Amino acid sequence: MAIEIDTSAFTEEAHELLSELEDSLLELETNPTDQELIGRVFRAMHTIKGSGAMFGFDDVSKFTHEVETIFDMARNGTLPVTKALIDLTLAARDHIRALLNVAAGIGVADEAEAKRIINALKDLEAKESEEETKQSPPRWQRAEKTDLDITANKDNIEPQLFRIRFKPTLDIFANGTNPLLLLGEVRELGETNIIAHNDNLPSLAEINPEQCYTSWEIFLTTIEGENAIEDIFIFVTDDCDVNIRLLDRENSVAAEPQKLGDILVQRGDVSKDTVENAVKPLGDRLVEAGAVSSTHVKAALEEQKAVKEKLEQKKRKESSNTVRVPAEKLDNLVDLVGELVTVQARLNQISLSGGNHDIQVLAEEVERLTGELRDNTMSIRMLAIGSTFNKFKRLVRDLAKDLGKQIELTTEGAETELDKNILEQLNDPLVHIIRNSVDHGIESPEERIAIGKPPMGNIHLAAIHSGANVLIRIKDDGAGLNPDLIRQKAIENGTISMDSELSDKEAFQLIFGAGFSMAKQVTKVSGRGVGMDVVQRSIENLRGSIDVASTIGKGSTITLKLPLTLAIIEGLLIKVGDESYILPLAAVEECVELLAEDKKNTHGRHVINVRGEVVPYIRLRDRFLVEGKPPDVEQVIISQVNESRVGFVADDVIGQHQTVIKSLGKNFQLSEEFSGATILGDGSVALIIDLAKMVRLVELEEN
Amino acid sequence: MIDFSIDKLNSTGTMKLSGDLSVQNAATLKEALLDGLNSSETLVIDFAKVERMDLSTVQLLCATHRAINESNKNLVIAGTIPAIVKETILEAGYTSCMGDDDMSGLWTKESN
Repeated sequence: MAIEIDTSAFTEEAHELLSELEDSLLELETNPTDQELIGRVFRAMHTIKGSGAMFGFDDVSKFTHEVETIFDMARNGTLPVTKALIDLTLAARDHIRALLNVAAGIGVADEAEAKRIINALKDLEAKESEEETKQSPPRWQRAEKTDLDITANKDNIEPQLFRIRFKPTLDIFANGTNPLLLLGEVRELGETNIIAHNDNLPSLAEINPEQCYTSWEIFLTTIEGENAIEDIFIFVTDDCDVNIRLLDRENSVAAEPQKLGDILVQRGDVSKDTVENAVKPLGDRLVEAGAVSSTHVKAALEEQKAVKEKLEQKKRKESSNTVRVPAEKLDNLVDLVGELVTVQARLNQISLSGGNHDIQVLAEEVERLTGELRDNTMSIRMLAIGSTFNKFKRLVRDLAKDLGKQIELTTEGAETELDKNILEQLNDPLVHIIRNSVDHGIESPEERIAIGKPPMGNIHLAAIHSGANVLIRIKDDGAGLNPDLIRQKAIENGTISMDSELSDKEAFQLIFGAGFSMAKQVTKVSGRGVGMDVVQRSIENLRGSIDVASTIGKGSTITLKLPLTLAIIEGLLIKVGDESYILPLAAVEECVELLAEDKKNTHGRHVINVRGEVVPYIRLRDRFLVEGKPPDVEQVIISQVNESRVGFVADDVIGQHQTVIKSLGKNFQLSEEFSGATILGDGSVALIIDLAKMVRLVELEEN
Repeated sequence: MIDFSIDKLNSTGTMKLSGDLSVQNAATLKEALLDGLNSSETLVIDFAKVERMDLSTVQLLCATHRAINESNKNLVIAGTIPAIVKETILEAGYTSCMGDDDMSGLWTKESN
């Protein structure tokens, strides 16, 4: 019977490791000598390789192994961390992700790409070792290079571990040979660990000071072949005993290091029995030696045990501190909480009209609990925006490289939290905006130097909390937008008429028109005129808004304003005729009365004087073609829409309402000014008005 | 090259080594060390002026160190240890030839 293994744990972990890998690599690019970072890159790959093999992802494991092997050299300092190495490792990281996707049934693996990466990495390594032997001495070297001919074995560029036993004869000094010079030459071949054996050294009284009693064991990791090592000792073969042995690379690196006893037995230095007899717990040995009493040892052992247990407990606790839950389950939970909020509203209404005091108390209790439950559920779905920001580091890096620009992406407010669904839908619009900044915004290094800017451009991504919204700001220090050019272009393609007067801000809004492109030529990155209109639409679908500010020569700032969550909002419940509507409370500033004489004074124009400021308003009765007589005193809800104040006139303002947003079905797709609907306590439906869209529609109709 | 003086009162022998400590002078150094060891309870060695050193000296120092440990005497390293001394010991692979070490700073890895 085949055993089904749940591989989702591995894939999830692997994806996490891959994004960590990417972050570390990008960081490494700025600090190429940071050993800690190199270690992190190596560990991430090592874990992917290891658990990949364990879960049967052989392709992933095999490929990662190849990359890891070469990166291991960077870790050992034998291969410098260069841009080329980082480029290739990033490409390798992408390929590993592709392999994971293939395993999940998405896409196909690009074998050619895998070969290209591995070959390029191997070239890099070969080139490095060639150069090192040719010109500069390797960095581990302390002694000067001798004129000894070291021929690199080009076919064998994998570093290998050799064990060299070097035992000079007693009289080697007399022949004028200095064994230390030979050791120095071995050091030049690679990384060494030299251990001296001086067991044969006689006591001071008996020693012949002109004889050599020392022998050595040298562990050498080198890319040179065995011949190169033999060459060193070629002139002293008569004066010494040299034994060179290649230790299997796989055994020495990948496997667990052997126990000392095993090694000694394997090397024939002691017999197995001797080792077994010798292996006694340290405590017993100390007691036998009379160093401590057995009670002290016992106490210390107890302490050790307790500490161990505590550590294990802590480990268990840490691993159970977070729980992974499929996003679907969370979505279900939020739906259910939404239902609960609706039912609770009904319960409230019934309890108030019923007059039963006990039920009223109960309803209030339920209301409080529902509120807490709602807030908690929402907070579970909140994710920090940082991981999204990090993705863009890679985007900017790759785009800048393609375009031959130097751009640095800085971020701020990575810890700002947004609803998971919003974050997911935010990705594409942000990609468009950042691409635009990279392509049109930031100038080439030459241009930048010519106008006195630093050659390295900057794109700053910031996320800031602002009430029930999050502001995401994408700021670049590039060329900025030229409002005159935009006007000209808009006139050319007929978006606006010759004589229309637009403020700079209004001109900037034109870039969101469908098919609008300022690019003089279409590049790989942007310039096809698809994008900014899509950006605006997706942001509006998220019930957000988008704002552009720009100064020629200084750069542009694009600000996205997004709601914290899509599922539940605070709304203001109003009545127009017999119908109820919801306005998003976050946009509402104040409510004022609209008297019959106010209307008379403005001669039918839809404006109201609010403490000296003239505010235009939209009469919802007119807009929704509601028949019947309006009340004598109507209510104007003054709201902030796209940074200006607009009033919405309703018959009555009912009050604040917890609004669970239900999306409208396909049949209502054309009614753009509604962003959704909600169910009220009495079971009736109230439409949620999208203020910004309604204002725009009204403006369009008037023009 | 070897300047040995002994303070009879507290039986401290001070040995100042200088110049070339290589195999040519190894026999002399051995005798001096042996004398120093036999005549004093505490042997102070000063390497400050050593200019050359090779494996023969490293072996002698190692043997001296063992003898001192066996006879429960003291060995003190005085003055700064020149780089050549440290390097030679390191190159010879004698970095941790003995565990419990009162010559710390010379034999142990910390000295590097």
